[in-house]
Amino acid sequence: MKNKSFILSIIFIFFTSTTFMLWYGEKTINNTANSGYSVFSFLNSESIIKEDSLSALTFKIENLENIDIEYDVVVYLNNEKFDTKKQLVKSRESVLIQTDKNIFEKISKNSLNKYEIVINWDSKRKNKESLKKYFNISNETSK
Amino acid sequence: MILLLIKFHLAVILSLFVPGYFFVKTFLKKQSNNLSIIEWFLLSFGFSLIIINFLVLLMNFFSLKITTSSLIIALLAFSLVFYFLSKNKSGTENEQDFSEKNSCFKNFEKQRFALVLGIILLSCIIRVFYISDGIVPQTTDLGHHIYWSKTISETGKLPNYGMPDFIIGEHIIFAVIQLISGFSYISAMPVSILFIVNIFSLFAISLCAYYLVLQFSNKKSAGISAIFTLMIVGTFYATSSPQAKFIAGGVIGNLIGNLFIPFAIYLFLLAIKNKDSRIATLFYISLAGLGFTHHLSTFVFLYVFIGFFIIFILLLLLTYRLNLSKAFRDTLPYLKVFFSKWNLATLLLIIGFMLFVHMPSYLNKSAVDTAVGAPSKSTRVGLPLGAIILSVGAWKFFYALLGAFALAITSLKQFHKKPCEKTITALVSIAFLFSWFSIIFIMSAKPALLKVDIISSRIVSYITFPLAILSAFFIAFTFQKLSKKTSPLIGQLIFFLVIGTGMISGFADISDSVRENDSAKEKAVIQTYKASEYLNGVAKSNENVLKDHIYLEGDTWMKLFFMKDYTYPLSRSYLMRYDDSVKKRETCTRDMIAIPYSEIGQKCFQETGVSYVVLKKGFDTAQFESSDEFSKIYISSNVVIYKRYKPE
Repeated sequence: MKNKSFILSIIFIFFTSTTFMLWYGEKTINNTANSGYSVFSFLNSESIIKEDSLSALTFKIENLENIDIEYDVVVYLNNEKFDTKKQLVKSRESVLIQTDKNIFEKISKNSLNKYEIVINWDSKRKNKESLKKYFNISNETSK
Repeated sequence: MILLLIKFHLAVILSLFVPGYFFVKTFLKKQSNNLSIIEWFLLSFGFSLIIINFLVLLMNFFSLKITTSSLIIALLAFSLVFYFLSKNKSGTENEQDFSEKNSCFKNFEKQRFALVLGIILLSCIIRVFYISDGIVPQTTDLGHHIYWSKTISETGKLPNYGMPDFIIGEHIIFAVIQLISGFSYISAMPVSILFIVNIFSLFAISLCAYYLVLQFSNKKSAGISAIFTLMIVGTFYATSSPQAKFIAGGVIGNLIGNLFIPFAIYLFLLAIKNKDSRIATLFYISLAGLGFTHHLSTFVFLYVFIGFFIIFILLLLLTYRLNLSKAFRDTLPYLKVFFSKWNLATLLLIIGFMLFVHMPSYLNKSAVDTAVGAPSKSTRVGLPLGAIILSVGAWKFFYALLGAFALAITSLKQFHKKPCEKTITALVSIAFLFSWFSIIFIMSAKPALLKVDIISSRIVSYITFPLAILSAFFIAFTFQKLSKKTSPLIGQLIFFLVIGTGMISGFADISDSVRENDSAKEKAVIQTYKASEYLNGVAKSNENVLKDHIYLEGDTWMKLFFMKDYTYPLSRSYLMRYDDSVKKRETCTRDMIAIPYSEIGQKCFQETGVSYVVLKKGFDTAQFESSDEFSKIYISSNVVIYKRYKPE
């Protein structure tokens, strides 16, 4: 009987210890530690862009803060202001910001080998930050 | 989540208890009544761990894919076979009942029951809280190891490491639990398994202490020694190496080695005590388990065993006053236990397994040469006494020395007794305890004397267990002497003084080493994971990635998101590592971050095919920010990714 209660007590201690660690780990990884910051990224890393494909110039904001944030986004093409947008990103949501399709018209007016797109954003809570991408235009068109 | 937790517990029971339980039950059918519940628990766990390794190695040898279903079938089939064997097998001549009710953990008194449970509970609580402050997987060692476990899970076969640093036994168990439970590797699952291993090593060391002391002292002394050993290793200095610190750090090999070393010694002593060749077979199997799990632990055990043999022979000669024929006559029955037909067959089987199924990766000449010989680096020349005391705890070291002194007195008493067969078991225990302590001490302090060329700070962690046994023995020894010779009050006062100072020293060590629950660091690690997920989505198969190990948090775990190769992504290491006077190191991983524009940097980018550089935001990023050769494609508050622009 004593042995039985001893083994049951040990099993209980093991069970609660490991369950607590696993549960606490999941909670921290998925919730507690995965909040309080935002991620800004280009949708893909392509630097050779097909002429009518905007995906490589599309920009994603993932708001992992606990509040909604409004961003003032400014797009520069080769150091010239090209587009501005106000974008509200709700808490724990993400938003894709597509560059205006006119960008290709603007590009076609220059025949440079290398283009630079800079995306700047600003908000009341965040300092001004930016992403930039150097790219070429491929003559092929996307399907 | 609840389902996942249930599956985890079922996976642990199925893989870490059931097969070992039936296996041991088959071997120790008749003796089973005399084993305590803790011994059953420990034997089931230890042998399950070994069985899993051998089963998976065999599955891989026969090209059976390692999947959830194949693992469950193999484990169930193995358990069923041994279940029937344990039911049907009739006893043989070799089998015998243990002569006495052996264990300290059998037939508890109420107070002892509560004390042992209390110690186990406290040991678990200290460890759980220590581990939880940093539960997000981020440590370097664990990241490297878990990559290999994930490789097993994803490919269904065992990896070819191509280097002697890793041993298969360190990785199989995580793959098995992951495949059966479905728990992600990026979770607390790996440390939870290590936590279980560590707690079982406490049981092993406690039982080891019991049988070591029992053979040259009395049952009461052995019982007290076992419980104090459990208390010292479980609760005092519970967060230093090789305890909770190793669990959190993912030092898998040392942790499993620290389970198997006392486990093997326990079986060795049990086999001798009961003159039982079946237990000797289990001892050999436990050694094989150790050998397939950790090179350093195997190496340490080998040295300790050789030391034991030499000390034993010396003690034997002294005790028998050079009467060799009588000494041999008394030793022979014990020797026979280890060289029965079954045991020789088991040894042949183990050797055959190593030769034809799987040879541990460290068993080659170059790996052995790097570990044996004159110390080749400043980190291998030994630690000063102060550093050893600091690493094991002053209180433990002091009382262990007194314990060694008490042991010397006990062994002197043996010389005055008329030697008989029972003397042998006493000498075995004394020799083992002396060897365990002194050999590891010499290996840590003056490795050149034993031709050991291994990092001294790693070896010193192995001395914790013999020190705990010696200090526990001293407490038991003094306690018993005092209870006979002084009034109970004085005895109790001295006893509480000893234990009280132990508590102060041991718990002070715990409070010094408590980790800060740094939520900012955990967030930083999660951001590294997130950046890795992004990169895995955008990087093409021919594009290489370079990350910064100096500043990025949890960067070793990035390879788990790519699963391309152990060396993918490339990593900038600590700068001092590039200046190695012994071995010329590559410097591209440093130069591509420090001087990306230079001729050297450009050449390195071309040679390595690195297209992406992952850095901690604001740390060595200036050269990339101002560059017109690097796009900045990803940023979070902690991580930034640059992509090298390659014109067509």
